Amino acid sequence: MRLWCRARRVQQLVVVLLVVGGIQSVVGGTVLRVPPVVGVDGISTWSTFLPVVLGVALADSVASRTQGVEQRVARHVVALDLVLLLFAASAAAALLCAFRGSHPEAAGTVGHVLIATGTATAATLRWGRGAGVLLPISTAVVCLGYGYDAPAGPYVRVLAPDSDAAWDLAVGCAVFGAASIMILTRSVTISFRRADALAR
Amino acid sequence: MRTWTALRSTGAWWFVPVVFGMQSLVLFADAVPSGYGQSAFADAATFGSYPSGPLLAGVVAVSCRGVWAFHHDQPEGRHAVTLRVFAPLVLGTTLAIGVLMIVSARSAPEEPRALAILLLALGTLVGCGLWGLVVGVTLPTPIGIPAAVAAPFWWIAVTPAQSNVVVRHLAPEVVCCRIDTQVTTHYLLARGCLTLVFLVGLAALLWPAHWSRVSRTALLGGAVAVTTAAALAGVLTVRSGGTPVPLSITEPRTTRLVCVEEDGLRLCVWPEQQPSVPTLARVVRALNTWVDGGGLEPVTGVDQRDPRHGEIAARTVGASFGSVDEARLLVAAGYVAREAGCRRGLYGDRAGDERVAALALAMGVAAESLREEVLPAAVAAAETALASSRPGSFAEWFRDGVASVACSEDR
Repeated sequence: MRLWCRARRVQQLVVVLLVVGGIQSVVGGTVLRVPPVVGVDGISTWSTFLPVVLGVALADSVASRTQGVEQRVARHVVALDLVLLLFAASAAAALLCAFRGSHPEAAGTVGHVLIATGTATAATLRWGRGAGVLLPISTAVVCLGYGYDAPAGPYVRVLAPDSDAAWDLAVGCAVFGAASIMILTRSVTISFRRADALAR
Repeated sequence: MRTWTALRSTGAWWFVPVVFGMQSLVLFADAVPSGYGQSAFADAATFGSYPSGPLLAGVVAVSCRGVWAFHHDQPEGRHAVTLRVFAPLVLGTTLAIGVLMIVSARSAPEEPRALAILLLALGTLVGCGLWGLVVGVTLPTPIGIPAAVAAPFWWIAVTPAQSNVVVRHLAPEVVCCRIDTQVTTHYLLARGCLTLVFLVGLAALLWPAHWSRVSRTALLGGAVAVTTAAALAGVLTVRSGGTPVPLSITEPRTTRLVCVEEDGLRLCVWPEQQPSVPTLARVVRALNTWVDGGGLEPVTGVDQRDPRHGEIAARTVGASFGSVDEARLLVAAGYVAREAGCRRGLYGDRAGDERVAALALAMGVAAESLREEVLPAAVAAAETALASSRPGSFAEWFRDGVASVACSEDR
């Protein structure tokens, strides 16, 4: 457990969660004026970036695949990883909903957290840490520059507060579900040297 | 380190094509080629650094975290490693976006101001890359990578919406230009100072061969100091004029007009409008035929900057006069503006003025197509005025209403 905590940088993740909650309590709902590049209209808030920050921290956490003590699938590690993912997503969703201000709906906020954490985790497991970091960031940058009035605007702006909340939640559940399945079917193997280093 | 290894390890092999494709979509969807170099490059610079700038900073932050430590013991110089890592990702992206900007502007940057706009946009991209490198190396991943993206995002996407004069003069969005305006020297100098100090400062911070042995805190402190110095240089340049700086970053254009004499008409147009001179002359002659017959004063020429007595200005947004009908409307609006004494043209262009509609109809514009450009009520009033058979009634109607025409600025 101690090795797992170190390898997954749980402390760092908890600090990031607290920072995200703290920032949300200060700027929750504060409008950020971003002139869209495509289309003409759209509301953005500073909170849009907070699920992305959590996604980056999660990508950094789940990147390592050398956890167990044997050269085989380590089931307990897999279960712990899934618990970590669920904990991070639900804690972030609770914090962001608690201080969300007047603009976004709670369902939409939960959807944003699920999209950011799901894409970060799934991309990290499939393509590596770099992709896991960049995918949620790219999603945020692209959807903020895509106007509400542009074709299918509310459905493209999946991380913006004025997007379609039900759609965000549906996309978030799908992406987060895929990430959970990928974690459960992941093969985690050992590096004794890595385990030694973590134990030190 | 071989070139392919550098391309692969930095992620340049996939990032440069992806960002090129993404940026192509944005540029070709939003940048409208106006035929005027400064305006085209202003559009290209505005839309060309979003989203490539913030994403480049993020990719550099992700890619370059471990590279220097990994190559610490390489026999070749640290500068060579730095350049081989930095060149494919940052300079490759900048070069690709630069080519894209020139293609979207559909001309080479011939004017010094257009070239300056292009260079500032490319400097912005290199600056994003350097920022991503410093922040990615010095801060922990969950803070460093979002910070690498968020700061350029704020600068590129958020500052253009601010109403603060200083911020507006340092923002990368270049809101410019109608064909009769140009970007101010003040804006170019302020942006130039900011970009130059930032690039040179960060390059000087990262260039020394021993920098990877400097503590992360010291490196971060240096980067903060450089950023502060760059911002300070920009602010001081904005404030250096002595007079209050306006929010707008454009001023009247100072380029010399091209003047042509044709059938007794003096036609002075912007250099980009020279190919349209024969069309313009034809339309002005048609107007003169009508106004002469109607008892109004004819036009002696066209001057796009300062029309002399008897001359008009046919004000366009871009270089082109458009179709012949569009040219007729522009000339009609110029004529009404002259008669009303509006030095900077009519308010709201010409959309609501029945005198403009009447002159356009008289020159041969079809009523149907005119209703797409001018309010239908104005077209109806114009048709009534033209239908009157009493001699001199049109001139009387025209002069009676012209004093109440709204000008875009002052008379």
